[in-house]
Amino acid sequence: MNEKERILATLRGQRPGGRVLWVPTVGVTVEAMKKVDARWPESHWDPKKLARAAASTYELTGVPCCTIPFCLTLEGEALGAPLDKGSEMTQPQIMEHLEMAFDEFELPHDFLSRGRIPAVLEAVSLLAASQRDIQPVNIKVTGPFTIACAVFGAERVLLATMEEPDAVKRVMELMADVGIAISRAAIGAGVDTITISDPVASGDLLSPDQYAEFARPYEAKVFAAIRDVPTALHICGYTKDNMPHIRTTGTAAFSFEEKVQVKDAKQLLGDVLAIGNVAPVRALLNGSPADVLRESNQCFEDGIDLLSSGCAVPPLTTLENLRAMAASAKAH
Amino acid sequence: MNAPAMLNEREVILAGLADSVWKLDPAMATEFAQRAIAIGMDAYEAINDGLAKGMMVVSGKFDRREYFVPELLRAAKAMNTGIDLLRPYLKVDATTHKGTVVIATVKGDIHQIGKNLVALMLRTAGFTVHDLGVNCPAEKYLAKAREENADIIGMSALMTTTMLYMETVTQTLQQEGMRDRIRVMVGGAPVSEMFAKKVGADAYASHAAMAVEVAKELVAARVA
Repeated sequence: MNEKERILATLRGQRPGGRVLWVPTVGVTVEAMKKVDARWPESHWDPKKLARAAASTYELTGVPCCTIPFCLTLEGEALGAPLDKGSEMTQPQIMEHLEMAFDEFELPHDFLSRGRIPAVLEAVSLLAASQRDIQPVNIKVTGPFTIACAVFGAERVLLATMEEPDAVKRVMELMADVGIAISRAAIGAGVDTITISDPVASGDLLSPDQYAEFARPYEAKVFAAIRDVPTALHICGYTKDNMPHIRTTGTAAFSFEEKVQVKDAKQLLGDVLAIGNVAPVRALLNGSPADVLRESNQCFEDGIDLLSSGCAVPPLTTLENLRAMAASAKAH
Repeated sequence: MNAPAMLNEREVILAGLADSVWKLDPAMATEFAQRAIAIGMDAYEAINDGLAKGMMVVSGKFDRREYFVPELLRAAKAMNTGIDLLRPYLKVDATTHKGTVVIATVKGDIHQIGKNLVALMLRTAGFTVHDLGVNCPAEKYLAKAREENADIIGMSALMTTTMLYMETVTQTLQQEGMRDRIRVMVGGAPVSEMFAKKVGADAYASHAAMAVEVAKELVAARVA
């Protein structure tokens, strides 16, 4: 089995043996993208550069993390929210929110051909060919709750969960449809895996009940529509109390931060695989290769199913630190 | 007028104002703010001993994970509803001023929930807060701090790449000769105590309630 097959087998619930490393969130670094001449912000828009950037981390460090796009604004941009392109170091961000009433919001029929969605799908096709025997090609689709917050503003949506819950749920249904449409198009273009990233549905912002009511059903709706592909769910921050709900989303695996202990997660997630949780800032960005190696080994000892950064790899992470993560997986 | 009954009415109103905030009820805040105005209650007292007390209860519930951000936003709405009604009756010199804070999310970063919570808690604790929003360049922090004679500049960032801008702000303060007069506090998910020192800030706070304590300490140290 090559590395790609081992990752896919693990996500399908098989036990290929040995340590498995896979980053289902964004894993590109400024240093690696510079080396392969695919810097931000161009590499968010140009399919060839997007594909080159996505493959660069594995090429230069041995960490499989061929995840695109590199931000959480793909859907929001396609739904009409104005975007700032970002810089060589920072991702694009949505700068203004739609002000229309929730009830007035409808999906544009052509949103799959808007913004960067065609470029991302083209990059998936390129990567499906170039990475075929190397690593899984992964598309990161933004979770329904997070798309809604990107489009309408997080505070507006969070407050509306209390004041107009039915209107919020209608929007979440539509945002789940966005995720399903992009996921299916990506499957058509040749992705191996799909991550739903729903960082605003964090336990730092929502209670377990609020998560269960406003985020989980819509994540589950997307997962139910893409059962033929191995999946991961990523949510930032403290997610321990939400894990009993996360367990029933239909995802194959859950990626979480170091705010939750691996042992606790393993217990709460049941059959859902645990992905994580090397500290992105403390270890990967600010630590030494020895720190990263130690934390990685600890994750495996604690029973992590797939080793990863607890959240997106910080863009200024050194290649040496990522190589230390790869070394931890290869050590056994 | 019957004096004990009046006293009773004051207590009922203050309790009602506090309850309206932690019970997340803007309509109740309106009702009790109008009752406060009707009996001629000092507006500052109504805010400080009524609404703000309720927000302290909310803050405690948030720290104990009984309330989450949606509840906080709703509580803030109730409090602001009351304050907006009472504001015309405020005697400016009656406020006990804890200090002036200029706060914003740094340039390149548009995340605002954490920053807004800190601004809310600082206001509740009696600070005058000038919130410059998100994506704030160094010049804007400095201009506002100068204009308002601020005690503290507060900076927030949610991304590892945007938090680096905090150092640009502290360096600009230095260059402009303002660093000795203004304390700098920083926060945000990827920010740490160590990072705060590295970028030349005076203090770090990991959450909104801590930010209030840190701000009080910074102002006290500045006066002393």
